Amino acid sequence: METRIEMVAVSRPVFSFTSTGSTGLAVRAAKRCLREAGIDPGKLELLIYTGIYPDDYLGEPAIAAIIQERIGANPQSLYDHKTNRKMAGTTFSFDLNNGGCGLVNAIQIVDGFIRSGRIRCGMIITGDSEPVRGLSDSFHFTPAGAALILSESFNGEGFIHFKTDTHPQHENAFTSQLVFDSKKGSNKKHNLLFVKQDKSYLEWCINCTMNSLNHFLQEAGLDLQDVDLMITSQSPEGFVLGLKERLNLGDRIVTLNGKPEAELHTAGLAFALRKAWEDNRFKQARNILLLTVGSGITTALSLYRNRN
Amino acid sequence: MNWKSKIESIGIKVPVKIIATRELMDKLNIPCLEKFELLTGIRERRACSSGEDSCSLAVDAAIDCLDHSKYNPEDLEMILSCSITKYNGHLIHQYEPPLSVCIKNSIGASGALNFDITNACAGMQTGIFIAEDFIRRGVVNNCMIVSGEYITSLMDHAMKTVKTPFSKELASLTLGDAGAAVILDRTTIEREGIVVSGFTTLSKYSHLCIGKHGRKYAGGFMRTMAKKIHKVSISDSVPMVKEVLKKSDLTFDQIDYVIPHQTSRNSIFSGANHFAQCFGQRPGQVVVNLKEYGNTASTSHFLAMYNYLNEKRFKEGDRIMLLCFASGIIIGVVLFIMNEMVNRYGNKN
Repeated sequence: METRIEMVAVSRPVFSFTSTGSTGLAVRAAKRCLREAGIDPGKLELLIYTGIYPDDYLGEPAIAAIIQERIGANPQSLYDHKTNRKMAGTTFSFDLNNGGCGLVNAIQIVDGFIRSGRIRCGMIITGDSEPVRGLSDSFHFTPAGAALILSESFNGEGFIHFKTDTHPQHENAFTSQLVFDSKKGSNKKHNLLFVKQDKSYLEWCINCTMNSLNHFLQEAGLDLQDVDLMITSQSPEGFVLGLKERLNLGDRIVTLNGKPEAELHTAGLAFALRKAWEDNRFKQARNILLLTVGSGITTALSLYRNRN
Repeated sequence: MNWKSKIESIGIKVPVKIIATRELMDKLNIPCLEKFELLTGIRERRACSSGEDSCSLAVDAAIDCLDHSKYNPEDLEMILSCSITKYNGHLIHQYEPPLSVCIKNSIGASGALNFDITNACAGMQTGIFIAEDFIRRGVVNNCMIVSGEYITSLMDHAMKTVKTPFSKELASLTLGDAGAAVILDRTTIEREGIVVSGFTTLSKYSHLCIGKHGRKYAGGFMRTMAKKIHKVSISDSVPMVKEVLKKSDLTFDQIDYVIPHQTSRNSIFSGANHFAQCFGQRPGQVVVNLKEYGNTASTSHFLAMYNYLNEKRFKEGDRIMLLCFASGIIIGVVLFIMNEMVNRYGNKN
């Protein structure tokens, strides 16, 4: 049994001048994903949220629990205490944080639970937005949300290999921290979100990715020429074009146009996937490589194989 | 091939600084709260000092765990950091890179697959749930699940805002800081390891406990509708425990130890009585480990286990049920059989 991608959906704020939080964007993408897949939210048995920056610095509950309620995925009690009957379905939700690579890690978890027979259908959701508008330093990510529905597959289509690496020499190449800013003499004391990116971060991301990609292809018994389509993280800005150039991939790598797309964070991979989905390249390709990069520096790769 | 997994070792770290409940109540000076210590069973809790934070507690707990383990840091194949708080640099909350990167690099396990899990007080059990699946499928042979909770900043905030016993921040006065780490690994022995685990999120009640970072001060706050959470958690955990017992072909009185989330003595006892009524049976013992540590969030079950191991209360073959209640609301059960790990604890003075 394999795990196939049932649907992918994305969202962006409708009005750029109003603040749409990461949870709202994630909920919008999740609802769209369910609608387009024609799947009842009650069928979702596992929900994993992979966004990094919660609205208003929420610490608990997990954002996934809030999304679970807002999309109506079995939010009720296990048991109808009036009739003494067990309710039909249950959903378990949690958050996974791993910078720009969380989405692939979450896919690996859902794939595992499907292969183990513990669940049949799961959803991964993510959202990126400044947690409190105006209270950050160098937060440059594009507000966006994304959702993926994964389900069991019996025809050989699905994920077949995963690999995650960290490169400890670059642990502090990208950091984001919430720091209490208490400058002496200032009346305005705030918790400020500081985002720091080393000027060599892009180059290191590309180098680390190249290294991990070589190992991944060896493990999977593939040559780069066997990869029909590569779908990647969008940030840091310049990553996709840098990789395209270095690997001489031509049209085999999905590129998005425009400045906002270049700064998509945890939702970046899903935006590229959605584009390949819409222009039918995803369905036509056989070996599809999902490749993410993020702080750590961490790289997470996965191979998806279509039946064709 | 499907493998079973077992808890191979446990480690903890608690800060040295102690804050007594009496000290807090004297400062608050609210007449009805005089019996807070009696009701909660919490005499004192540990609190971070300068230089300590979520990351340092997690790293020290991980080192202690390795000290009790057959594994060296470089043998670890997976590390999951599962804390709610992610302070790295006293009250500096770190979003990126995830704490698991810092932890694995600090202990010398840089080859391990890592990511962070956040699931309120159910974080470590959620980590066990995920790790068990990775081990079962043979993706990894072992996994360290680790958490460092620096949550007494919520208590500090509550000390400023609690004016009556009905305050939504009252539960923050039960909190204490601690780190805990667990190594889960593969076992082929039938009579040990995790028998069954199950979790669900009753998200209809996700608003009942909210924790946030403050906007205008370092640290955070937590607002809880404690009575309602308790009611929902207890009533809805009964069918889940029944299901777990059915799957494992056991009765409730065949469970030697039930370790619930450590919130307050009154809540634990009233929950235990409700279970006794529903099942018509009682387990061997319901573990209460609040007196010296309070509620240490995601680490509470493992802190309790560690202390019981060191007191030599567990024996090989004991059936232990971890009952998990957390904001979300998450209800979870992990049932496992204790192994030879009991021989590696409690021998030092």
